[in-house]
Amino acid sequence: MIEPDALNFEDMKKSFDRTFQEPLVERAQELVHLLIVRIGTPRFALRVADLAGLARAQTVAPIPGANSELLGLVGLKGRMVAIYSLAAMIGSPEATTEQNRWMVLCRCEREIALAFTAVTGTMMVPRAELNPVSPGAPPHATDTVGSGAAQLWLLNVNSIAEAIKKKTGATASAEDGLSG
Amino acid sequence: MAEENLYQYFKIEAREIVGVLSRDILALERGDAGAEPVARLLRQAHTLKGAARVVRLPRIAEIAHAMEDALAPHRDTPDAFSKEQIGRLLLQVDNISSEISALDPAPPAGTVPRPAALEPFERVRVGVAEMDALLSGVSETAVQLDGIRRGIEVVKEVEDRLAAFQRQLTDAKPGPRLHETVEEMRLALQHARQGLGMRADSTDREVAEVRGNIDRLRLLPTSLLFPALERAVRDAADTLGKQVVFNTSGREQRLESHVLSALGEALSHLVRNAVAHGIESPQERLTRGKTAGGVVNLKVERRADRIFFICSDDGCGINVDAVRRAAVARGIISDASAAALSHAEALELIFKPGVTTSASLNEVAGRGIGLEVVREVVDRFKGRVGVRTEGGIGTSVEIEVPVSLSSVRSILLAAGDLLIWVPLEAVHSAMRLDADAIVSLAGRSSLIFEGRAIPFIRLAETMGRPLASGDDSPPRLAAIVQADAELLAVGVDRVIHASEVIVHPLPAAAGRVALLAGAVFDAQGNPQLVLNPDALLEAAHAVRSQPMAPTAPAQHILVIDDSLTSRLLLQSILETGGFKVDLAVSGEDAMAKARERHYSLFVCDVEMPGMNGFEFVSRTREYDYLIGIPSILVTTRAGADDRRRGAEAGARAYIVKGEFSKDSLLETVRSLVG
Repeated sequence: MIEPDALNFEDMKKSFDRTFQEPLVERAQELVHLLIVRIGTPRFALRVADLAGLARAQTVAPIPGANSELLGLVGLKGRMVAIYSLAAMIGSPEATTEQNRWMVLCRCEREIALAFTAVTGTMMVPRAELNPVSPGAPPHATDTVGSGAAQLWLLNVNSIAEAIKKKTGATASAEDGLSG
Repeated sequence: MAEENLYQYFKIEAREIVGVLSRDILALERGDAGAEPVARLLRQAHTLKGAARVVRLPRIAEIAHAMEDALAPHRDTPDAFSKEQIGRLLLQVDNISSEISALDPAPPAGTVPRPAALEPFERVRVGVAEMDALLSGVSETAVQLDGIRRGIEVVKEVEDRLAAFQRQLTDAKPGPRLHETVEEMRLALQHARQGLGMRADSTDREVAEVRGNIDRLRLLPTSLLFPALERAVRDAADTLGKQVVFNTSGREQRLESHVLSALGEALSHLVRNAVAHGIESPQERLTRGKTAGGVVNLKVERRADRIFFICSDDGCGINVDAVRRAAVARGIISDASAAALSHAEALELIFKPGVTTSASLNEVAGRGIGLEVVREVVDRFKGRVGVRTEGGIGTSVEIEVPVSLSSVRSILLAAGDLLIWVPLEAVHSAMRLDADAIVSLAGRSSLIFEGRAIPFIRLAETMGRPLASGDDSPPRLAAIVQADAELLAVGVDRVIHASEVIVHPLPAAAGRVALLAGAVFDAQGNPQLVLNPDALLEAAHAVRSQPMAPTAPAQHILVIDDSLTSRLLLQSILETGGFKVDLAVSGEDAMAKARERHYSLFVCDVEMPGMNGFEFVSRTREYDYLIGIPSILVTTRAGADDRRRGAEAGARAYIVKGEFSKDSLLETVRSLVG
């Protein structure tokens, strides 16, 4: 396993963006590229391939009467995006205590962003080192990475987006939803 | 140049000219074409002729030339055109339109032909003024950037002075000018901060304007549809020997071009149907006590994130039994099922393929295709279509479609830290609130506005923003918002400004939020919410009806009384009973309101200036659309003669003021409205 790098924001952004330019290296080498995020204190992993973008949290317009997971609306590259608390989506007790300073845009549904506390780095993990979750794992966790105190839950962003769509009745595709 | 490229720009220009020609010829016929109408038409025809010759389309050039020949003798006598001459000019416009359409690839077999002069708005032609506005916005932003750069230079100078200052401190030999240097630096920094802040604000405004202008370029005014629709009405009326006036409203609404094109097609069927099946012949109308000429109205309005096209006529209405028979004859439904349908369900059958109540087929309508096209277009945009009809009074067809992007003139309101846009068309007025302006009536906050109590809500609270601790002071302003023909006072702190904004729909992943019509981007690209006034009113009603929530949708009652106290008392009692209440100050006012909305009951005073209560109740018996609405007279007159007179007029109950209790009034009302 490759340990997360200690990167500054620009390095991290470049590294993140580069993954979309490199043709299928990940699959060829059987490595999974992960983004490591922090929700409060605990760290979690997200598959970079499931993400369409990474950005610092922006001004959020809260929506009246929205459920607790939905933080509100943000504007991302000229699009209206619904921003959800990643902590709330996995039922984390950190949901109400920590500020959400970062967000990722879901690749499968580009009008959904997930907000969390911080980005701590990226890592490349051999696919063989991903282990199935045991009972008691948080919702949407599909695998674990590492072991012992360094073990991380790998959260399935697509599954979270599906849960949001199911809850809101949003069945249109991302492109249908664009107003351009 | 390939042929398609050769014609690409010609088609755009030619379609525009055809639209202008069509509109101006119709205006010429009506006699309201403005100054020098013939000279304008001649210029348009001449321009088209020249353009057609450039792209080697001699047939179009010939027709345009023939139009010039027909127009030229009337340059100074625009009133002298005969109906036949107008007809010939319109026919020439149609022929040009057909020639232009022939330049497009042939449509697939089976495609329903598009009505003449109603062409798709596939390309947007940007006006020079619009381009100038964009350019000016961008140039202004560049100017502001220059100012920001100057500010940065000032900050650099201060940095240099700070370095010098540091050196003095390091040398531990502060010179005599130390204080002066520090003060100079402070002033320079203050100056730079103020300058940069000002420039940043200006840049914000300019960028917001440029963004709005670019978005707006994608939207076209609905008025683009009106000339072709007016033409469709005129041609249908001419063909069928009817007299029809076509009125339009809502021309300022702007829509995306593909929505506008599709709806134009549906609307042309609707207006032609209104003329063919709705408006009676002049003789029939005169026999029925109507004017010889009928009226077809097309109203376009926006409510929240939906646009409504309402086509109404004052014709004979739809014979619902005939619709049932036609559907049975087409094999769409069995005899027994048709008979079992309600009035509204049977009316829906007119949108089925081939269903027509027309006894004969003519050039205008009768195939039962038109409304099928309407249904198809509405379904394509996930909209809704509804019909209301009344025998002898007329028909109204309402098309409702969601819009993905629209331009709406709105006002920005501030309540606490909340900033929210409200469509300006829903804002009746704004007023300053005195400390005692808000009163409690029937257990809810109300504001007395123009002699009646209207619900009052705090915007911040309704939008889920908690009040600051200990802050129960009333808002400083009330925006009087109109929704669904009702008024509502909305407490806010400030009105920021009004502006034309581009409203984007909320992402589907945010779920359905009834209180919001969408969101707009501010200059930084952050969303600001846009309120849905209709839902705000519903929210206000929900709050007040919580203690006694009715199990069925609230029924509307009209209270008619010239006394403010009586009106408010009756309103309060009826609203606590779960009814919606409108108020009228006289019989005449009540007749006007009853034309606008269907009421379940009239509660009417007897002694009023002008039309008294007896006369009002009698009058309601004279109109088909009012005859089924019961009336209660509430009066101080307790004599037997008065009671008899009330019964003769048609009142269903007679209540003496001062002798009734809240419960007995509600009991009587419930017994009449079910």
